[in-house]
Amino acid sequence: MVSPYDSLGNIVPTPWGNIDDINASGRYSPLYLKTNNPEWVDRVRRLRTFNSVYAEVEILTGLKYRANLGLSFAQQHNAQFQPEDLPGKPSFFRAVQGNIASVQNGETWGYTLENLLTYDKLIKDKHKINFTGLYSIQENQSFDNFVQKDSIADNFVQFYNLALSTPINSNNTALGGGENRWALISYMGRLNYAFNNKYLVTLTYRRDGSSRLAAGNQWFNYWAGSVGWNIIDERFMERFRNINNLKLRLSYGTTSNQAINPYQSLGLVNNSNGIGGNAGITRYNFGPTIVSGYNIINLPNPNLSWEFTNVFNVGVDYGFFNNRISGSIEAYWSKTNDILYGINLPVTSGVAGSYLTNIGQMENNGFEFSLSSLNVKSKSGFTFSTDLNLFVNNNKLLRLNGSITEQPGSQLFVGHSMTAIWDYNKLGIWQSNEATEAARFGAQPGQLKLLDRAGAADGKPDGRITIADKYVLGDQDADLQGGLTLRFGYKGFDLSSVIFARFGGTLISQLHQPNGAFLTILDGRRNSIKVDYWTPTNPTNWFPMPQTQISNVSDAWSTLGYYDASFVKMRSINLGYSFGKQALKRLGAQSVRLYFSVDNVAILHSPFYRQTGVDPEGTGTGNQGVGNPGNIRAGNNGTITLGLATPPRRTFTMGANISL
Amino acid sequence: MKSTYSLLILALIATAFGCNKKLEEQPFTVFSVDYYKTPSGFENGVNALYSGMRFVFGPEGAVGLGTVGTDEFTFAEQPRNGAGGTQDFLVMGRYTLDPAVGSILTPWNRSFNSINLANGLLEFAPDVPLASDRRTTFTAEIRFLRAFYYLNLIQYFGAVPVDLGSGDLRFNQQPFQGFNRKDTVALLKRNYEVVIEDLDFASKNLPDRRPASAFRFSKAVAFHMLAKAHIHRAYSSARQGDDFAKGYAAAMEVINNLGKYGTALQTFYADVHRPRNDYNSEILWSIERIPGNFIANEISNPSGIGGNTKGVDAANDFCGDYTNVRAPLNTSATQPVSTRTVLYGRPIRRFCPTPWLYNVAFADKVNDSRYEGSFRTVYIASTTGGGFTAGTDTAFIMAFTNRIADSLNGIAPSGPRLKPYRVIAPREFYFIGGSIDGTLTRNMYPSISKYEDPDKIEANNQGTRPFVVAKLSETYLLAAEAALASGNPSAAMDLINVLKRRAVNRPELSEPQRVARYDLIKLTSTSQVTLDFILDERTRELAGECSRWPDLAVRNKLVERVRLYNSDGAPNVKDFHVRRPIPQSQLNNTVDPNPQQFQNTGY
Repeated sequence: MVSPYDSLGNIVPTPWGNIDDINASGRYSPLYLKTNNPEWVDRVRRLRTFNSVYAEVEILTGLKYRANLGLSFAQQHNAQFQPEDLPGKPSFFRAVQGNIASVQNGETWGYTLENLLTYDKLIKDKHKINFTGLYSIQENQSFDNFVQKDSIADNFVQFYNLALSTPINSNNTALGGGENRWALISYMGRLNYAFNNKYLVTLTYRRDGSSRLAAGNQWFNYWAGSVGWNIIDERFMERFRNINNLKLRLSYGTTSNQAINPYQSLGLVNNSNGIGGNAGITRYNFGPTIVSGYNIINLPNPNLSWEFTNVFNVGVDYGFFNNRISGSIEAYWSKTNDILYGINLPVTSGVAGSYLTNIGQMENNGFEFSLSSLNVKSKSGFTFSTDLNLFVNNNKLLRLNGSITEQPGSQLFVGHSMTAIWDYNKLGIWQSNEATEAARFGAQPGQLKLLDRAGAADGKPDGRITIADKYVLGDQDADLQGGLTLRFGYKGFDLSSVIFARFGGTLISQLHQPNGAFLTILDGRRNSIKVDYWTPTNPTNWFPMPQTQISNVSDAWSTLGYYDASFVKMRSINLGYSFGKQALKRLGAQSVRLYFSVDNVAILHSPFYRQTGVDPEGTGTGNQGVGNPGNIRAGNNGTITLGLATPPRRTFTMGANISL
Repeated sequence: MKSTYSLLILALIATAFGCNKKLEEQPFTVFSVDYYKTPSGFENGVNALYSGMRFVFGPEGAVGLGTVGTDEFTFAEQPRNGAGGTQDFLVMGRYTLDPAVGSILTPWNRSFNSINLANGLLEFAPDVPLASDRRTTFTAEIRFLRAFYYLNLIQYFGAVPVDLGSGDLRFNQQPFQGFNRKDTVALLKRNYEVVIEDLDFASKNLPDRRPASAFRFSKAVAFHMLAKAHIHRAYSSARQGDDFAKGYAAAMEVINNLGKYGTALQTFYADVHRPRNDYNSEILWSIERIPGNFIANEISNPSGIGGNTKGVDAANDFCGDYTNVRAPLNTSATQPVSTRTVLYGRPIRRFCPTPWLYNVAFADKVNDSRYEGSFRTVYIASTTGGGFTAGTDTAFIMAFTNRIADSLNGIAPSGPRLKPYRVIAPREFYFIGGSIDGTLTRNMYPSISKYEDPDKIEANNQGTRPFVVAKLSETYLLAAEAALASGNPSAAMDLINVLKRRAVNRPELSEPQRVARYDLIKLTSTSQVTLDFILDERTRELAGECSRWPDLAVRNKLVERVRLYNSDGAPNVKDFHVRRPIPQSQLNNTVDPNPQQFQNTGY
């Protein structure tokens, strides 16, 4: 570690440990932001309004028409100014460069208009009929503009007039912008029928149109039905006095999904080069003349259609002992068809990159259990109650279009979860006494030892580590998850605590994938993550010997990132005190509650935490590493991974709720 | 109540108009392929094809692929073992690479989109409202670019698809998940046909010469590339009987008509790659960049290395660690160039010369000026102290021979020094029985100076100069090679001697002195002219220009010369290594019961 201040107490301009960083004039100590950059401005202003109005008329008895109108409007304005680097006045952001200013303005508007027709009728006090008809339309548009200019004439100008600058052919003049719009139109009819409040039937029919899907596939019709039986209201239940709620529910129906970004069915030609930032526009020059280039970014998909899921659900609600024990049990079986998914085309298709399409079918079967109980309620006013919930979900890809069984490049493996991890199986580290066996694979002691699983013509091991040895090692799905809330109350005091647990599944820690993070290279040139690495005298099986080649297979480094994802965490502790009536009277308030709470209290159990000291919960989705291991799904439903993003924080909060 | 009704009426009206029209997408910022059918769209499509070449020439992946594991270069101290690297240059240099190595991706992943766009533009061209001569020129440029993307791919990977999913050379708009690379012998034949037909068209339809200070395609570069394509094919399974003859004719067309094609050798070799002389008459074509302008050059992180960039990493990849060199003695406390300089670049130490390059190919560093024109030999102090003044005093020099170093040092190795700066003898370079610092190997060595860029902003920046792809001196070498293979070694000798004659020129020498030196290095007998000699001469002319690996591979000389001259690669290089592996990501994305069948033999 390096000290941020020198012996005289002055800031060390470049307090880095690594020679590359010392020599890079591209950055200074961030302490200068505090002491040295009074002219630095980074302003964000947001205005957001949401308004809803409605009107309702009763046309006939029981027949109502209602119009709901929701209007939303948001503006965001970002402005930045960063002063130049001057001798004796280093600029953190602009080392060895002049000043720079940028302005970005964005706007989003949208509305939801709903026309509802409802009819309520009670026949003979027993037949309760309710019909709802809906026609709704939603529309939303957002766009933004960006300008950036350097060589601003004087720092006091900031970003207020970018024309007050030197008109040089500069590196930092940049323009940007974007727009998208979507609309969704829905028709729905729903019929509720209840007999004696004991037998309940609901039928729903919907027709939705989405602008995001390809012309011709924009409309989707689907229905759902459910029945409920309030068993508790049956005469034969009168015998069971301790049971005070029992209801059986069954439902079958279709849900739908079109939540993709707009314009994806159209294909895309534009001047983006995929490099990002100010340099993200495809350019070229012929001598001093700069031109722009337009590439095909995405293929059109004229067949892009709705994803829909058929779900069968069974549930029981229950309550015992005056509802001191209550809860529900659910089981569901669902099949999702025409999954919306971005697949990776081979680059030889001429338009590489993600192609959003409907790929096949998957299932999600699961079980949920919840139990609330009031365990103690003493006369002295002490109460103790618990809420427990447990859930299990099994995800499996059933089928891919074109009867393919796997697409490793798109993380799709039929028969496995959508979060399947496909890689080599790391058995450990080659040990000193295994040198001969290691040499057969071209490896040496201290390098990663991988499973030779297949590769020969008969599917047997071939004595080499190749792509054929990769297989689905597991997935990221939990086997069982659950939460437990404990609540205590005594007089005005309340104390509660939430515990959350997940068991099973694998987590991907990109912090531990050597080509994903500089932290894990162990080349001695930087501060490194603490791992137990192999040396001839420390025959661990976790990390390989620090060296240039941790494996003779170039992509085996990703195998260092897989860990048991199980954990039990105490999410929070809350302690509160509510003032009594007399005190309230004196204070002149309706209610006053003082509280103290701690979030993210403790990791009670986690094999990963025990081994690494790192929080086991993911910090982001998709690849977060410098090097992409290639088996992490990106995009809308990207895989949750543990990267260098801000880890979960522990927060302490003290406060008061007062209503007057 | 009144307002309630008006709102209801409003809602009903909105409903009435809010019909299906709302579902039609009318984006403001999304173009479709129809844009290419407009004149500006068509031209911007052509620009994109030119711009795509920046990925393929300059960034580290492409540089490494063409450089490391040859007779010229091996990996240096930092062979990309950091985050984001997979020891690429180590395993490429040792020939232990597998199909997942990142650095084979650059030309593979960055070419087919341009080839497909070229196919599309060629389909649209007849209907784009353009003046017919402009249409012809654009068409010739597109065909040149398509040919060049292909020529570059096949020299690394062998046969590559011509049918991207919609048919032979057809514009593909289908989400094609197959991989049309089955019969690689027939496909390679087709690849060369496409390349040669395209270049032939280009050589007939482009303007004679390029603009004086810009690199658009001209007949000159088209003939040059046509010669190259014929010669490459002549060594392949797709060879035609007249390939060498046609290659010779194409190259000689340029050499015999230098005035017409507006090209000429520079008087001094060192001027060919001199900064701020990027548009000199010897360069037929470079991939353009604007010095010092990162945005125009599409570099988002100027201090980054490789990855997603179109900058010239070559400017740093060859740099040895001059910052570590102690002076005036190897025991001194001072490191007078410890601050990196813009000109010397970031000492990223990817590639260092083999002993063969230094000792054999450039054995003559005095009469032949090309060593000095290709490598940095003198370093000026960048930090004041220890008797050195930054920016003024010479800090150290890399002496040509041990003997020169010894004489400058008084006596070897630590006698009374004659010079106030350090003179480093070749035996102190890592590869000749010693190293400048015993704890660091492959750390400091003669560094290629051809990409030095004084217009970068910081030392760590990627280079921002145009990247030379075709120069007239290579046209001479291609002509000589074709002449030799066609049974005309005396023509070959004469062509090589043109380069030898130029190589002796140094500004400080008088004409008689130049002639005297020429007499020492010129070829005098046709028996001296062999393919191996021509490959040696290519090194002297083209060292470090990122095409050595394919130059050897297509001539079936790679394995032989790596075994002879590159001790890192020699133990493991095998015959199948003349092809790079098809990248694993390509096979992973290919939907086929047996994607492995598309892999090149041996991987």
